[in-house]
Amino acid sequence: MSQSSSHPPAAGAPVVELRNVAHWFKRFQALIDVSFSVPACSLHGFVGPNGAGKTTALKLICTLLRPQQGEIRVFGLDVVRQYRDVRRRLGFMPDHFSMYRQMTVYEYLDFFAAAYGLPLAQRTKVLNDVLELTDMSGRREDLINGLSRGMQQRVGLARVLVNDPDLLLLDEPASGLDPRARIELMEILRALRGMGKTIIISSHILSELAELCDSVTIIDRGSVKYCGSMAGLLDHQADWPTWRLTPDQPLNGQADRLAKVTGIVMVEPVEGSIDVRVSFDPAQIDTNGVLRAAMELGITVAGFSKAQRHLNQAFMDLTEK
Amino acid sequence: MIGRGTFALVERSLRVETRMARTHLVRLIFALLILVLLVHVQLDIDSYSTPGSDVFQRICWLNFFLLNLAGLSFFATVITEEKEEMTLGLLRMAGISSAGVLLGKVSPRLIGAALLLSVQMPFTLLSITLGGVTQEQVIAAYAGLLSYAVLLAGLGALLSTVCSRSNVASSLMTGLLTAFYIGPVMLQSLTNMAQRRGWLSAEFRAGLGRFADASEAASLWTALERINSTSFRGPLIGFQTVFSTSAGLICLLIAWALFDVCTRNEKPAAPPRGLMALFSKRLASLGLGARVWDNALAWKDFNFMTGGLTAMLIKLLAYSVLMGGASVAVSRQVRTEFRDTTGATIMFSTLTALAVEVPMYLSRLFREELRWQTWPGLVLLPHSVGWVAKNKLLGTLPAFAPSAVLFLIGAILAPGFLTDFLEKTFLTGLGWCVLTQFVLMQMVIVLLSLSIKWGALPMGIAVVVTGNLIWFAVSFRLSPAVMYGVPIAVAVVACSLLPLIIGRRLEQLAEHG
Repeated sequence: MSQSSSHPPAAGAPVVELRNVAHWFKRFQALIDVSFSVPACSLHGFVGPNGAGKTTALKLICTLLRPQQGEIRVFGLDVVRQYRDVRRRLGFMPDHFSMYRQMTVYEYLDFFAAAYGLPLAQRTKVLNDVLELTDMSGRREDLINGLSRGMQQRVGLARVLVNDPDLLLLDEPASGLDPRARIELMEILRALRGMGKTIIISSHILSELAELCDSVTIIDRGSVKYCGSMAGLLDHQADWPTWRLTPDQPLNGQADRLAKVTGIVMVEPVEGSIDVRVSFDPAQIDTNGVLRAAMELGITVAGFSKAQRHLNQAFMDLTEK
Repeated sequence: MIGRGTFALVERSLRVETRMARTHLVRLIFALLILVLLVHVQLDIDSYSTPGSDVFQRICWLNFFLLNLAGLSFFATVITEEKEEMTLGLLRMAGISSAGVLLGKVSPRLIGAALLLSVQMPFTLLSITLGGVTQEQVIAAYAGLLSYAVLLAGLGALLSTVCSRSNVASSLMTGLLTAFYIGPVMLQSLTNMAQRRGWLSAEFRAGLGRFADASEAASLWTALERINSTSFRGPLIGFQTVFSTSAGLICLLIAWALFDVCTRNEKPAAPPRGLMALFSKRLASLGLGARVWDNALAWKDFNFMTGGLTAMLIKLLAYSVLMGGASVAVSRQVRTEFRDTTGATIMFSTLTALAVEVPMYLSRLFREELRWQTWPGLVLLPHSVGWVAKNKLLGTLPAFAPSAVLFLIGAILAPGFLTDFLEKTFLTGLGWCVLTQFVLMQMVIVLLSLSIKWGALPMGIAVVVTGNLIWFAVSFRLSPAVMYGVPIAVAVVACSLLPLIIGRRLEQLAEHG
């Protein structure tokens, strides 16, 4: 696969920008004032529970839907007025298989390559490249209908690559795949990122994307709850700074006494360990103050570090409010 | 064998049908049409010697036409639609037996057809008061029509049990009904020809003759002609009624016997490769696999919807044989020159074939994309919806090449007939009216195929034909300029607006796809 020749975006420049986008389906508001951007050459996770508005947002970005309010720009192009230019530069893989299953793998990819206007000579090379990338070269003459779900998913991915898009929108690409197919898919996505593609991948399972994505947008009930780096999400605290305290032996009544210290908001045990999470009001007490108070209560501190929430916990905290 | 589940199926189907506006609309249009026929006859009562008979005959033939349309779609898909939705297994798990599924699916449709016939009864009885038709004729005709509905329901159940896809079942039903009506006539002609040449023994010839006679007597066409004749003296339950009812029930029994075998392995519904499957793999293994054309959309629809080059050649061969046979048969009946007869027969037949093929392909043009959820993928191409539609349409055009080639041959053989045909089409109001209404019908079929899952083809035909029947029934006293001008104007305006409506609908379907 070659890099896209049509003005590839500079790394870090926003490829997708949504500004105050709202969308309704009859009376139901699917998106409420959604704003976020995705930088070039990044792998961006788009996460939310079922029915959060992920697919609607992706359909708006890929020009299948027209935004009823707000503005969407892809590569700086308006998705309503310049939809054809936008379509040339992106590839959208929907969450359900919508393939011409009566075709062979090669016919299917050749069909889309021709539909995108690639000349015959170029089609042969592009098809060989995408088949190799998706490891489907050996199955090129197989009927799509006879392929496993994982294989069909790869063909779907190969299809969105035939026009060499700069931006890939993948709606729940790993749903229904077995662990092996899932891992293989993630490897292909890493390889694509390495080629300079910007990838937006939606999922309702945050942990699935944790290792893969550079940044993430969390959406719930049509509203963006978080947009930023994956590391930032782990640090992101809704209310108070929280640190993790590791004693050398289990705390008995000391935890309750620590919670009563002025400025300390909450002390809660960490499941499966003797550690506790201490949240405090920085206006009343600082980190040193918390540590000092613990030692004054007779706790032998073996460790004291900034608490990082589990991804799933972060997701739950953001989406259940 | 038939348990609570069967009644639950029947009840659900009836409930759904009752709640659908379409059901009531169809009945209303039907009742309206009959009312218009009555008003038309009443207004012009002086020109009819037997006005009641005239109304009744029109109602009978309208029913005949609509029942056949229902047979091709409504009845032929009764089980295949469950197969395609992969819901037969669920019905089985609910403890419904084979007979239960069959009866549960067939009976609501039969009840629907019976209700459509019963809605006409009050109006039809009025024709008795208009004169020229007896109560016995009305009863005999409705018994014949109802029994024909049973035959279609039984045959539909059998074909949709055996076939895995709705379009295959519908095609088989079309073939069988065509053979049922045309077969006896052709058999008679062939028997006569063989008799003249002394090819057949007297016994065999007599046997064939008896078979052809019995087949003809069993058809609703013959029965309606007999019932509508002034010399009709009964019986109320004729041979056709007994035959149709018995054949329908036998078909149902066969469907029941084959049900388990034919539905045991529920395969995931997938679009068929069709005739592409015959050669493409072998060619590909030899490195001769054909590549996709630069116009990819046209390539796809040509190969996967119309059957590609193989289907074209088969069609050309079949049409040539059929039209050659028809030319020979016609030339024996008329005293014109063989060359003229052959040319005229070929041209007439190819036009008829085109009139069948064009709406058939158009009804599937977008329906197949919607059915297999592939439409959004095409809309996302960097082109407008209009461009996509135009190129899909281009892909179907080569499928008409066999008819076009044969038409040209016919035109070369009988240039006089061609001139006559062109004059009648383009230099008369009626010709333009037929032409514009045909185009309108295609657009209505396309629009309906975007809104209803099945039956867009018969529904589209029914809508346009019914509209025209109503118009011509009320406008017969007007000048030809108005009588033909209004439908032409309506068709021109509708044909200008419908592409926009179809385009918008296609966009909406992509959004929700």
